[in-house]
Amino acid sequence: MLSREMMGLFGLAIVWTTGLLMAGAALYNLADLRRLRRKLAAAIEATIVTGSGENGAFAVQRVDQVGRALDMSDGRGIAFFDRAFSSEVLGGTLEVGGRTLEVVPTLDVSVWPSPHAKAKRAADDGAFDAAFAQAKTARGYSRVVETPLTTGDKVWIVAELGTREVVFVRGSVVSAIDPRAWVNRKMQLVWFFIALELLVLLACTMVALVRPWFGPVSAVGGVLCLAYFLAIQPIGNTIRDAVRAPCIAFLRGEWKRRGEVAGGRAGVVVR
Amino acid sequence: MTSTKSLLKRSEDWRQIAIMVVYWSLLAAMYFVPSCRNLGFLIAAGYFSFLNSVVIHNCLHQGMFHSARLNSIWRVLISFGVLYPASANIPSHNLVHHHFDDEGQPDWASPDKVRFHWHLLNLIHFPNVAGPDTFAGVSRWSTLRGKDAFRKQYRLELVFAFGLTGILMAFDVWTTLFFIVIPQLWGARGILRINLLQHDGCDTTSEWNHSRNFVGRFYNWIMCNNGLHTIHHNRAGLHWHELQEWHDREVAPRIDASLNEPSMLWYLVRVFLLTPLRPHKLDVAKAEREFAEASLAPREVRRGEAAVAAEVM
Repeated sequence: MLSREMMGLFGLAIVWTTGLLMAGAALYNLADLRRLRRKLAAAIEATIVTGSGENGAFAVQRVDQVGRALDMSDGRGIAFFDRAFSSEVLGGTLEVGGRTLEVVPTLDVSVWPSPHAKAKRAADDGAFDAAFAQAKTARGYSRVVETPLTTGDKVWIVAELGTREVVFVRGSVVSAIDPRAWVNRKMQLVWFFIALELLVLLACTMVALVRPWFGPVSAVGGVLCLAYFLAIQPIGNTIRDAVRAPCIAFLRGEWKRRGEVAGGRAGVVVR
Repeated sequence: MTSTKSLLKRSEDWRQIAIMVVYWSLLAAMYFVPSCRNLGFLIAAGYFSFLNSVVIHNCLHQGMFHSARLNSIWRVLISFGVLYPASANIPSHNLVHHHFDDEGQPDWASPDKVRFHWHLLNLIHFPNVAGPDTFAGVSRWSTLRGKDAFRKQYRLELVFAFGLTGILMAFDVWTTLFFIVIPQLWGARGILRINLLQHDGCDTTSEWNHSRNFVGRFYNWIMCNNGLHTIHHNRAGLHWHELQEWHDREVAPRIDASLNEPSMLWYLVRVFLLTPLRPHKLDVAKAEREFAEASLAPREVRRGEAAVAAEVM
C-alpha cells in the first residue's frame, strides 16, 4: 500500500518539478532579453526629419488582425485576433548627432511603436457598424493596424551608420520608446516572477508540511499546492507573452458597444 | 428497452465504454478501499486516465450515441476523469490543431512552444505551456457569437468535473489529491504531451509528413488506433476503428519512413533518454516535394499536349 507520506512526497515532487520548470522556462526568456540588451547597447537617439511614407511616415509596425463578433447580451462587440506582425522602414532622413542621414526603405528591421500609440491606432475609429457586419460572417472582419513613426518623432535606432546614410540590416531596430529601458523593465519582471513563484512554492510547501502531517493546516497546504500547480502555468505564459518584443507584442483587443441590441443603433462606446 | 444496436452508432465503441467503466472503478476502488491504494492501482488509473483523454478525443470527433442527449451526458461524465471539459476539444483540437493554425498564429499545442536544450525537460514541461495556451484560446473562442450551445455544455462539464472532485475532496482531501487528482491530471497532461511526440520534427505544411505515427498493432489496439495520426489529420471524419485500413492504404506508401515509429516506448527511450539534446529537424517532406515537382500530368493530358506540339511543328 502507498502510504500518505510516500504520496505526499510524490505530490510535492510534481509541484516542485513544475515550479522549477516554469522558472527554467523564464530563464530562457531572460537569456533572450540579455541578448537583446547586448544588441541594444549600441542604440543611438535620432529624430525623424522626413519620412517617405504617407503623412511623413518613416517606419511602420503592422498587426494583421481578424475581428469576430462577440456574443453579448447587452450590446454588440468585436473581438480581434492577431494573425501576423510585420515591420517596415519606408525611408526618409534622420538627424543623428547633428547630421542628417538618408535612409533607404527595408523590411529587414524591427519597428517598436509605443504601446500608447498602438492602442490609439487600434481603437474604435467609427467604422464599427461596417466592421460588425463583416465580423458576423465566417470570414470575419480583416484589418491591419498600422502604427507609424513619423516626421518629428524622437526614435532610438540600432543600425549601421555611414557618412551619408543609415543602413538598416537584418536585426536592426527602430524604436519609438527607449529600448534599453524597456528591456531592463522586462528583465526585472522576469526576475521578479522567478523569485516570487519560488517563494510562493516554498510557502505552500511549508504549510503542507506543518505538523501534524496531514492534519487540518497541512491539508490547507495540500490544497494550496494544487492551486499553485494550476495557477503557475497560466501566470508563466502571461509573463512569456509580456516580454515579447514590441514589434511582435500581442495587440488583440475588443470593440464593444453596450446598451444596444444586435442590429440596433450605437449607444455607449466602451473600449 | 433500447437495443444495443440503436444505442451506439458503432459496436466497436463498447470498448470505449468499457475503458471508462474500468477507469471509474479503479478511481472508486482507490477512494473507498484503502487496500487498493497501491502502486498497481495508481499506475493502472494513470494509464486509463490517458485512455479517458483518447475517448474524449474520439467522441468529440464523432459522438458514439445516436441520441444527441446521450452524447451530451456522456461528454459531461467523461470530463470528470481528466478534470477538464471534454468540449474544449472542439476549438482546441478539431478547429485549431487539425489545421495547425489559429487564425495565422501557431497551434495552441505546437511543439515549438518548448525549447529546453535537454529534450526530456520539454516532454515534462510541454503541458505546462500547451495547457494554459489551450484554455486561454478556448476562453477567447467561446465568447464569440453563435457559441451559446457550446458554452452551456462546457459549463455543465466544468461544474461536474470540478464539482465532483471538490465534493470528494471535502470528504477526504488527501485521498482525493493523491488517488483522484493525480490520475486525472496525468491523463489530461498526457494527451497534451502526445502532441509533442506526434509533431515534433515533422513538417506541418506538408500533406503526408506532418505527423509521426506509432504503428505497433498491439499499441494501437489498446489505444483505439491513437497512434495513426497522419490519417487521422487527413481524414478526421473516419471512425477510429477504420484508421488502420486507411493508414495502410493512403499513408504508408507516401510518408517518409522515419515518421512511422514501430514502438512508442522505444521512441521515448531513444529520443528522450538516450539522446539528451532535441533531435535536429530533418527535411521529412523532401521526397513529397520532389515527387510533386516531378509528377506528370495524366496520360490523356500528355497525349493531348504531344498532339498539339506535333501539329505546331
